[in-house]
Amino acid sequence: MFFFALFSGVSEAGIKEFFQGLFIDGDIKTNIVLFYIRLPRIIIAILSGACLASSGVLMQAVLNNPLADPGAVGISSGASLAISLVFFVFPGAISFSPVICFIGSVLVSFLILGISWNAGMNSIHIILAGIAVNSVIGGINSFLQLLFSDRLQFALMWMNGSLSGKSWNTVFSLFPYAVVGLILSFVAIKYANIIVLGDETAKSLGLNVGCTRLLLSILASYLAAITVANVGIIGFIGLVVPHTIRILSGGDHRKIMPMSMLLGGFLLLLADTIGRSIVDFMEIPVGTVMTILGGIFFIYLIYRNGRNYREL
Amino acid sequence: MVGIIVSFDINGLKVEYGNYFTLDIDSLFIDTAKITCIIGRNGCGKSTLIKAMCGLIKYPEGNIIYNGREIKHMKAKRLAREIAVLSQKHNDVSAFKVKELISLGRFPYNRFFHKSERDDRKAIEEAVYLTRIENFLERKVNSLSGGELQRVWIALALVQQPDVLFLDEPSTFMDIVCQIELLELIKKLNTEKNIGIVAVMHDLSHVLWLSDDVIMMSNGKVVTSGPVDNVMNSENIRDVFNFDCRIENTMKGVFPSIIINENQKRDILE
Repeated sequence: MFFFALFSGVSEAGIKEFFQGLFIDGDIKTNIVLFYIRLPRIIIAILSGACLASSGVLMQAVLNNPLADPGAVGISSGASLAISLVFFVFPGAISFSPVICFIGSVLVSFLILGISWNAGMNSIHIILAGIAVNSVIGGINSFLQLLFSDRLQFALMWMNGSLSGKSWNTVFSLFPYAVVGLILSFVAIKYANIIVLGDETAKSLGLNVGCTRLLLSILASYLAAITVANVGIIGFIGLVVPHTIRILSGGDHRKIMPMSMLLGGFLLLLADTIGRSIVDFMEIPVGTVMTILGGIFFIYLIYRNGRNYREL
Repeated sequence: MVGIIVSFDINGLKVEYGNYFTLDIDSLFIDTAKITCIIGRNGCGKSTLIKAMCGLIKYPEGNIIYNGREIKHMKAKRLAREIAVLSQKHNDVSAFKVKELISLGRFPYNRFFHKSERDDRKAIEEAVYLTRIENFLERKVNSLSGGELQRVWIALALVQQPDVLFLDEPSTFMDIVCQIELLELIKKLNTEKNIGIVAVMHDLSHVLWLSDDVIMMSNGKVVTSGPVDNVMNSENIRDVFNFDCRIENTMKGVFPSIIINENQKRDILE
């Protein structure tokens, strides 16, 4: 019952946002703006939010760590590096940047998972390998940015994740992959539930822990990578959303997963709407809005639910 | 299955942990219709032995035959339908509700296209009834006391509907009432539900009261094993624990007591 209440709450607010985005704060209320600019943008926001949130849920389950997010397996750093390379070193390939971005993030996450696979696919090993690889790639990235600081502006738009100028083409290139990923996330729910019981208990329930952890991590990186490839890097949503939902609904992934998808979609749409309406003369990239808003929201959550938070 | 003894048959088992510890068992037979307790000092390999028997760790050398099948060749899910384990360590699952947590014990029975809600519900109801956790099904795990939580973990194992239940130091961190309730529950599972019990225990009085068979271990080896009355005597305890005591069973139905002898008392104090 509680689940149902929250479900309708979130989606109702989503619909409200949707109509607000559609009708209220537009300056040119033409069909073209609505259906060729706003609508695809709204769909992309919802899809990306849902993908990032479910990716975060999986990462936190797999790593047994409430502080994990898709960035832990190198999605963000891999994408940044790919973008830097494209914009600075191979500017000719800019039109392929979504594909290159996807490949970059997947390669880096495979590198991290590969290192930890050798070490027994233990959650601590994944986290440590992630920190190490992320720092190396972050370093290379800073070096590239220093070297080509004149072209930094365009790359920054990607690195901060933006939904501006996204059309139906992006919807079509995101939608099928997102749907596959989200359906697989529902399949992953029962495995996520078992893996959070701890390696020993999970094993005694007949789960192949190492293999499951690898597959769930791959699914999580896939979900994050498809959004990064289409809209750029949007941080924090994969961390904040599952966390919030866990405080609200408890530890069962049968609830966490669908609720996180809804909240993720809603939150990203909200952030995007704010980003494009709060300042008149420019658009703030949704990634930037999300980082600031998400951070403030998170501080509030920690403050309010101090006790709950400790017990999680 | 009249006439067939359900059992573990271990031969030439060797498990090595680095250079400093080796579990080395020539031959050991465990009748899983009974309650078997494994005792020995900390670090003597008790937990390693039961982990190997449950398929939780790999053993490169030797055989563990359960019901005519080699454990390491059995599929994990199939094994989980026959053997359940109550581990010493658990992850923090405090955000789960008790109801949600124990339902996860049905995982080994869960297949994509073949799923019986009725069997699931029946198994869960029975586990709840046996462990008497009806009253806190809706509560979150973090609101439970240590004794209640242990009952929930046992319920999770029973939801697997195992033939054999392994318990690794089940009564640690429990008060005396919870401990006795736990022992009663273990006995009931064995006599009424025909679930074989293999338990690692530290309290020798509990061992005397609970077990049919006892395995004594020291330095990764089995020192002696057999029916409780044959194994549990002051000579064997002195050999394994280097501890001088006598066993007194003064009243029927009360725990037999391990009494520390005078000279041992002096040794400990000095």
